This record gives sequence, C-alpha cells and structure tokens, in this order.
Amino acid sequence: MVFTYQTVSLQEVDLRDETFCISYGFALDSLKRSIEKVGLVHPPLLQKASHGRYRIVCGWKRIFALYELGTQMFTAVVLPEGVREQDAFLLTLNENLSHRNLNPVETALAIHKLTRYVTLQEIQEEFLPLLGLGKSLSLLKMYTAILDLEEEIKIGLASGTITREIVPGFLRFSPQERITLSQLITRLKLSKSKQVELIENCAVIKERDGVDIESILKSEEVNEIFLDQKIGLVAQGDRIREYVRRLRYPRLAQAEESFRKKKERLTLKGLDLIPPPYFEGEEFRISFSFTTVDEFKKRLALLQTIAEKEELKEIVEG
Amino acid sequence: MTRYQPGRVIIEDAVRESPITRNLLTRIPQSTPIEYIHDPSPLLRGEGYPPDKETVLVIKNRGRFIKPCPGSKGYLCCGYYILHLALNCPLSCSYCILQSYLNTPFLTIYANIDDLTAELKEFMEKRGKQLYRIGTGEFTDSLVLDHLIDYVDMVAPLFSASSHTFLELKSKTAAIDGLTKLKHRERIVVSWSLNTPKIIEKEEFRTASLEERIEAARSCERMGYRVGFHFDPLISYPGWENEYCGVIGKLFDRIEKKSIAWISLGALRFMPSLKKVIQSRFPKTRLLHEEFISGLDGKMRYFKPIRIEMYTRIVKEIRKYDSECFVYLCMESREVWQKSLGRAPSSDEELTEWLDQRVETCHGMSLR
Repeated sequence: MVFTYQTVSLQEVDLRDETFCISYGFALDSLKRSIEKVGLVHPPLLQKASHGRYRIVCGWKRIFALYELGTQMFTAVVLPEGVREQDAFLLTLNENLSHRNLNPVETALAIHKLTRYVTLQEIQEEFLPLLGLGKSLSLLKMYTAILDLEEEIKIGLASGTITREIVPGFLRFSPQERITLSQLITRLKLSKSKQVELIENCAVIKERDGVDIESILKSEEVNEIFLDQKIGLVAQGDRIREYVRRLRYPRLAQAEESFRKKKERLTLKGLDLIPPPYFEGEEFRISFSFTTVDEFKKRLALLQTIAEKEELKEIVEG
Repeated sequence: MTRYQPGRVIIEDAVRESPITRNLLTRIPQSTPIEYIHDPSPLLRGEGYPPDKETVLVIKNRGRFIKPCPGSKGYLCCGYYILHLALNCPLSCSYCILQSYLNTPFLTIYANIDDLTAELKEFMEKRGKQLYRIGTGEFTDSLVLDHLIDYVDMVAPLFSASSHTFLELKSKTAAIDGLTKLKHRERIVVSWSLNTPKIIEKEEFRTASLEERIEAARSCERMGYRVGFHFDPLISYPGWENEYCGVIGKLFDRIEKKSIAWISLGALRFMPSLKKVIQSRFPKTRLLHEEFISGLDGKMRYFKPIRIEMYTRIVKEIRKYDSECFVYLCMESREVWQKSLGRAPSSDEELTEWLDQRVETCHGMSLR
C-alpha cells in the first residue's frame, strides 16, 4: 500500500463522516498545547471519499485540535485509491490499539462498526481477543448494549467514573432511572464494587417491589444524607448504599437491627459481641482489648456479669 | 413433554461396541449426524465450546462410577452415594447447579457398562451388610435418557445382587416406560422432584408438568414401586405458601401415603458463580430476588428465618395428610432441623442412620 503525503485544507475534510471513528470522550487541551509548541508531528490518515471530500481514517483528535486552533492547512497521509472500507477500518482499529487502550464506549464503537464487515462469531473469535476481552459472548453482548445508553452514561463510562461492569445492570432500568443512578454514582464517586452492588440492589428492588427507583433515590432519607454537612462523600456513599441494602434485604436488616438493640441492652463496655456472619452459623465471638492486667480482670468480671443476663441467652439461643 | 432426541452424537472409539452405544444408535433418527473420535479429552475440557444440550457425547468413564455425595461443609448430609451414569441434562432448569458445576458443555453418557457392573459388584462386596442408598439423579435426570439407552433396564438388575444397596431414581420427567418392564423392583425407589406449577412453568423448562409427574408416580405406585418426593429446590416467591400446599394436597390425593418412602425438602442454594449464568441465560427469572446470604459452605442460601419458615409450613402441611411421613432436610444445619421439624440428627452419621432405618421400614426388612 503506497501512502502519499499531501497538504490538505481542513475545509476539504468531512468532519461529519464518522465511518472510521472509534474515538469517544477525548480531551484536546494537552494535544492543542503540543501542536502549538512543536506542530503536528504525526500526520492524520485520510481517504478520499466518493463525495470528493476526505474522510478521516486515523487522527480524529489531531484534526479536531487543528480545527479548534483555527488551522486551515495541514499535512496528511492519504490512502491510495481502491482501498476497501473494511480494510481501512481494520487499519484504524489496529493503529489505535497499537498505542492506546480504548475506553468502553470506544470498544463498543469498534465492535459496532466491525459488524458491518464481519460476522458476530468472527468478532467473538478474532476481534474480542484483539481488544483484550477474551472470547466472552456475554462481554460481546454487554459492549453491544453500551451504544444504546444515554449520552451522560457514555461520558461516565469513557471517563471511568462509571464502570463497564454495571452496564448489564443498567439495562434493567428506564432511561430516566439510569440517568438518576449515573448522577448518583458520579456524585458519590463510588468505587467499581460499590457501583455494582448499588445497581444490583436497586434493580432487584425495582423488579421485586415494582417501584420506580427514582422514588427511592430521591426520597427524604437519601436527601437527608446529602444534607448532612458533618459527613464526607465516602460516608454519604456508605449510608446511601446501606439504606438501599436495607430495602433489598429487609429481613436481614431487621435481624441486624434487632441484634443491635439486644446488644445495646447488654451494655458491653469495652467488649464487642460479634454474631455469626448473616446469622447463619451458631458461633458468636466476643472480642476485647486491654493494656493492663487490671483492665483484663475488669473485662473478665464484665464477661461474667453478661453471662448471667437474660439478653445474652435471647441472643444466642434465639 | 416431548422426548429428547440429540441433534448430533459423538462416540469414543473405545465404547463403539457397548450395549449403551448400540441402543442409542438404534433409537435415534437415521439422519442424526454421528462422529467417532479416538480421544474425547478436548471435548470434555469444553475448550471453546458453548453449552450444547443437542450434542450427546458417548464415552468411557475413566474415573469412579460410584462416589459419595460431597455434602456441604457446615450442613448435615445423609450419606448418599451417587452413581455417575451421565453428566449434564437435556432438561433446562434455570437454577440448575450443573450450569456452573460442570466444565463439559455436552450431554455426556458413560457407556462402559461392564466397568460399572464390576465396580458396583466390588462396592457391594466390600461393604458387606452395611446399607447404602445410591442415586443416579445428581448429575443428570435419572430417566430422561432412558428411552434412548435403556439404562434402568441395565442398571436396576445389578442391585438385585445385594440386599443392602438401594437405588433411587430421581426425575422431573414422566418417562417411566423402562420401569414397566423391570423385574427387579424391590430395591428401587422412584422419586420425583416436585415444584409448584408456576415454578415448573417459569423455571423448569422442558420438564414434565406437575400433573404428569404425579401421574407417573401413581403409575409406579401401581407397579409396586416405592416412591419418593423431593421438594428441592423450594423456591420463595410471593404466594409460595398456598401454591406449595396445593402441590402437597394434590400429591396426597393421588398417592397412597404408605407408598411414599420419603419426602425431602431443600431450599434453593447455589454457588455464587451460578448467579451470572442464571442472569445471562434466564434474564426474566425472578429467582434471585429473594434474600440470599452466603452460607457456611460458601453457597448462596435464603436467609435462615426464610428457610425455617418455609420448611415449617411445608412440614405442617405434609403432617396434615400423614403425621408419620418420613420427611428430611437436604443440606441443612441442626438448628434449622430443630426449628423446622422439632428434631435434629446430632451428626451426619445419625441422619444416615435415620434414612437407612427408613429404607428398612419401607422394605419390611431387618438388616441389622
């Protein structure tokens, strides 16, 4: 394939032709600064389209940076005539993958555009490994769904504030609910695992109880947490997740609350009584710390007192 | 339900001449593609193959045919033995643990019946007069392939050689043709996994309806078989109470209580890895909406009070029809036993003893 270097006017480039575009959610500031300082080091790759103008094969960010800088003329590499659209797309895909990781929306775009040229099975077998996704059919389905999500969510996915792991969960909500959830996740800066937990719990509550998730996330309880000035973002996130968890697991939450009240009545000064995880086993644990022998003796005496209390029997024997 | 027919059959050279292979080949349509292979190991590893219930793999079992039930850490196990005749199942239950438990994507039939016979003989001889309950319904359905390979006819007579080993056939089908012609019926319990019509419709695809299962049990009862019933998995959903009680009513309406060897109860439980499989293969299921916690064995289970509530209610309903009915819990803790049934075995051994005694009572024998 013989490439030619040409000086091209920006007006000759059709910026709306996204045939080969797999770039999404990019920032141009640092690239613009670089171009201003040292010029365009790597010329974009263009192809002459049937309508007579050029379309961008590789170099979307560079061309948009030039556009924003007001540059009129630039040097580009132009594909020879007769290169098939499919081959040009594979060229841009491989070129991108050679020097950067695609964000989830870009991966989704790449997969979507590949479907024009190859079968889904070929994508699964040949291209998913190239994209670093193994050969998982469920991942293929998940990425296929990304492009149908709302713009706000795609921006979150591209920037990393929303994790791709919650995409299947997101599909269980209405568009408006998804927006509310994505705003909450972004506001609370939740980690991946916390996002997954929140989405899963909200999805079950919605489907099981037939409620609109907005009514929960915009409820008075959630609002009060946001209004609490004494706690930081992490604590706010934890309390909201806990609130949702209690709705998802009402009987477990009730048991935890009942245990907490009974424990309170035991007045465990300096001691802690730990129930079996999820109250499933039968083994309770007591923990305490001490710094002196006297303190140790005090703890033992307290243990002795607690052992006689009816509340302990109630907790342990149920 | 329609009878299963494979879409493709792959046969290992080593079992070409097995009676099981011969039976299969005479009972599938002539148009069924058949391949012979020398080494099935890549297929068994399932490398690159999606789950495939249409392909039947007929191979030699290179491991043991009889294995003890692995039990579950922290829960009582009844000392059951599993006879591995096949792996995977053409039925399609959304909650089936085999979806995440097995590596092989194909429905696999072990055809080296001579090795099975030898192993079973050795097993019976070694264990002398100790009683053993062996089932074939753990890694496949006991009856679903019988019309293709006549397993029951081949395996059941082997149990006539020992008065101390009992075979339990567990099924969600009504495929009892093989049982009608069987001569040796005395050491066989034919069991059905039962669920409510709603769960059967929404979660147990390709299986027989509740009516068909109970009718099949009734036919077996008339043929002189003891029958068993497993409410496993019990599934919690809005309305479960009335619907399970309805199933119990129907059961006792149609089956004589003296014919029932046992009824077991086991609430839905699964390895955490199954959750994603269920969500992906059965996106409409509501199975996962209940309050699941991580159990002592790492499996997801309903929160304990929910299980106790379900068991207590169902036991009460069973007792309404038969106060003496032998009911046991599968993989539950002593505490749950005590709170649900008012009694609890102190150990796996005691539970095993209870079941063994039940077998003796059922069959009017004194083995000790």
